[in-house]
Amino acid sequence: MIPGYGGNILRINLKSRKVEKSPTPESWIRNFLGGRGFVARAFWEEIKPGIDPLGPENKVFIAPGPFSGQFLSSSGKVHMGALSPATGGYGDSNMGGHFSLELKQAGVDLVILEEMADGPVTVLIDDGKVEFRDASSYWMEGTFAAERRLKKELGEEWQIAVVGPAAVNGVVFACIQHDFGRQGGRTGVGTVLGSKKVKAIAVRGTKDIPLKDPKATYLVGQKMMNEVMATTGFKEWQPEGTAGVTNWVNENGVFPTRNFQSGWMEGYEKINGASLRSKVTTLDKGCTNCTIPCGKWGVGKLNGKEIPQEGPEYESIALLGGNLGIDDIEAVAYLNGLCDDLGMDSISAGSVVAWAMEAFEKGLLSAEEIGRPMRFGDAEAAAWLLEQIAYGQGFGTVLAQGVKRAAARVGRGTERFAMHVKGLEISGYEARYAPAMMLSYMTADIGGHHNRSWGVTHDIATGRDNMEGKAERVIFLQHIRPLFDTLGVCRFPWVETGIEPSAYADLTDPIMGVRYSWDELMGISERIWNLTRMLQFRHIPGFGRSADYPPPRWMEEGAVDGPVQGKFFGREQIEWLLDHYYELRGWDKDGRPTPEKLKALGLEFTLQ
Amino acid sequence: MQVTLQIHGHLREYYPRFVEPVVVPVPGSGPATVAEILRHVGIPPEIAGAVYCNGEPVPKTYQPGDGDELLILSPMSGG
Repeated sequence: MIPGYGGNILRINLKSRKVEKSPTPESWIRNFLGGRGFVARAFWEEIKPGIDPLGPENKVFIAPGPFSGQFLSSSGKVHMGALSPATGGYGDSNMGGHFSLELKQAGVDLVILEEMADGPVTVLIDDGKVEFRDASSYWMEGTFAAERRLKKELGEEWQIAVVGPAAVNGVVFACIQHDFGRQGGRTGVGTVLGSKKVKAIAVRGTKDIPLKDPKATYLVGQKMMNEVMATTGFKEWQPEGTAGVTNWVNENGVFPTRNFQSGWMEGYEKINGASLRSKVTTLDKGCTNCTIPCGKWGVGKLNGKEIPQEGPEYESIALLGGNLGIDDIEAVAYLNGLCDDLGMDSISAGSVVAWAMEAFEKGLLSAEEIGRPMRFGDAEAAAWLLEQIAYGQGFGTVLAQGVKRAAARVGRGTERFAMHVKGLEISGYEARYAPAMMLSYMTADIGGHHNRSWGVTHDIATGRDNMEGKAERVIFLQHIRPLFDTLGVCRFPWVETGIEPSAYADLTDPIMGVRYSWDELMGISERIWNLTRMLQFRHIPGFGRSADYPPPRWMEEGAVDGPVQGKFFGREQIEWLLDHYYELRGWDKDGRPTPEKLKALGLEFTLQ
Repeated sequence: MQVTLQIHGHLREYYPRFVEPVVVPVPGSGPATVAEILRHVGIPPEIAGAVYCNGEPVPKTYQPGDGDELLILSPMSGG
């Protein structure tokens, strides 16, 4: 047994129902650690260029990390990936909850789901044994009902990942839902699962996870947990969770408002963390071994309708609140609950609805085309459109293809305000006057996502007009933040409560029996970053520098109001940022890693 | 007149002087706002995610009293 790992790759053929178990390669452990590293490495091995993301040749990869489920703070993360139906390239997403613990205790380091089932199924992984159950009777059910049903049928100890009507209907930003409010949200991994006719994956594990030194793991992990809870500011941070940042982003003009026309919203205080806490939240909710539960459970309400839901966390407040011009936290929670139940990424869903609202208000889309008037601030209209998208009705079928394709289809100049990078809708930061944050979005491997690098604090600390040092910071963040997705833990103990990153290096020896320095761990993360870059070159026709530009709105027009009204960077400065970033990375002018760089990182196999 | 100032979270990387509580003088002769105090010690007020005075949340326009304890929270990255 390999300390820290389940020890097995579980390959499940959904068509033949053949199941293969093979040992986790030691070279993968050494060079890619687990989680995001295993997903990317397996992706390179298994996914052929030119295939249909919704065809049988695509595969879904699910991987906990070596620290998933271990006795340390916030170890409930699992990574998942597939060829993205949204971007056409490598896609992945990271999910909290309790799924990773059960998977590890089932002895699994990586699940590969391949081919397509003949009919709707739920896949049961019970201590590594696989069973298929007919899911026809609840194939179209919402995620909340389906998860409740499976919990009742199988038992509370089972952990369920489920897709909703959006995945069934091929919405390219369908997510995987778990624990009634945690998602593998981005890049449409849920869509791929739905295309394979998998309604749910249920997992139960009862095995011990082998550790090199259980006592030392306990002592180091306990010390980390104690430090997190004792840290100054913990009791102030925790009650609002990520929603607590709403005031700050608005103050700094980076709060997406009315489809990123502005970074400042009048009435923001009606949808901030304090409003969430006082009007919606009834319970704090966390993941495996979490000492800082950021999940906020409560009821979303809209015109007499109610949905019990988790959140909204900040990203959903940004994309379903400010970006839709909605200043009612109960309504935002309702829309968030609707996205969760329908199984849609609330970031992408909010973005496509915002685009439709702007197009309507500018007279570029008519009420007849959309199916009804669609104005900013109209939560009822937003809820209606979200259901149209998920159920594949009317204009919803256009929006279901994501904002890039929807804008390309409608035309009429709407491409200018289709807010995406690489086909992935931009998450909750208006970054046209925040160069590190904008570069973070431009160069994020999967597209417009903040999880890989969050540079906006650096912009404000070092000057928003100053381009120097921004690329360096983004590269650092692109290594450190995804490293948590690779280890299988949440980054919040580091980024929010200030736990020293070296604490994670201290855990490698007692858990894995191999002592990694922090620099070595960061080196592995750089290897994975370059691998995912090569994956995009391999899978996206014409991929390169042209894929790294922000949307036209950010290059050509300033925010319409707020503290940074009128400010943006022009093309010349953006080109300089990219040049500098590529040079620091060891990439050529088109953004391709050089052969020397790939060899230095041990990625020679990508050159063949 | 002086207050105690401490920073919590990742902003400490930029302002390591305030990892532990530091007693700082209030600028000018009379009371000053939190924003003025932060600016006086070289911290852009807009970078503070939230401010607590003696454990209670306060706006950056708040004027702390002599000996008050200010805690600056870093902004959070969501979701």
